[in-house]
Amino acid sequence: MLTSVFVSGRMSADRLDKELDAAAKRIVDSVASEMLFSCGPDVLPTVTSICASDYSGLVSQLSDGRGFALSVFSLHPSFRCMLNISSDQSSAPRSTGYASELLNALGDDGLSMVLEVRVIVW
Amino acid sequence: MSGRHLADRQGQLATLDAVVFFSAAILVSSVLLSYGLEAPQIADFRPTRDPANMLDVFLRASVGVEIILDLGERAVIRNNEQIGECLNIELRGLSEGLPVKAFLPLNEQFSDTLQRLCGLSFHYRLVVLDQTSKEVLAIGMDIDRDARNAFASSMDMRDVDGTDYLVMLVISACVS
Repeated sequence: MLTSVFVSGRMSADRLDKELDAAAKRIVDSVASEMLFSCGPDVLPTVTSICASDYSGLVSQLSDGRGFALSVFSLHPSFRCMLNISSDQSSAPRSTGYASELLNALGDDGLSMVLEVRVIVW
Repeated sequence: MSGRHLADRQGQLATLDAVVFFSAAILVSSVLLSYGLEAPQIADFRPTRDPANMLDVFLRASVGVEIILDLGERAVIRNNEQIGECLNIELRGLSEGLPVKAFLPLNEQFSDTLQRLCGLSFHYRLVVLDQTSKEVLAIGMDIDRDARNAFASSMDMRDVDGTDYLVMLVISACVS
């Protein structure tokens, strides 16, 4: 009986982790494609246009009331944080889901940078 | 007499049933427990960044620094040149018989960029194969061939002469 309680608890935690990971992936995919099309189709987005856009509405809508934190980092040619958005939920996370996606963007100096969009959902 | 013998025999069968039942229960429990404990450890080896996504953005990114190569004559790679184009130039040079060490500064820059993209917890190896599946270029550490810990992606590339290459990126967790 103890085994079944342990295993069912574990499986339920795994299921919750998978749901949260799927939610994080959904958000990261939508935000990344929004960023990629911020300057029109087939045009490399600029870092300025990415940083000037407001993604909080989109992320809030996709998070289904869950807590979230979205960050955009530049990984290449230099490392720096470009953008941070988070939900107002202050409750301690019981479980978290994570997803990230890389994309290219045109920097102010004309270089094709590598940005990473990271999302944590709880 | 025969009634007592029958009762003893039924008792032995009941004991045997109980032993078989508990053995099976212990076996099933240990299998379930091992599943419960093992599954997350396997997931921990998975890179947080998708190798296909990484290879794509890597090839589209700019080199980021100006690099001077000695290819018989001085060749300057500007910082805004795409990594994919530079790799193309290197592959053409190698096919013309230039040594790999002539492209060392460029390969070091590729290496730095790939390490930054895959993160410190992961090893990477970028391999370029020609049409005969011969390894033309390899950048990064040798990857342990344990398939459970290695994740790969590949992309076709055609140089200006029309020669086809296969560019492959393999990522593996540092934990072995």
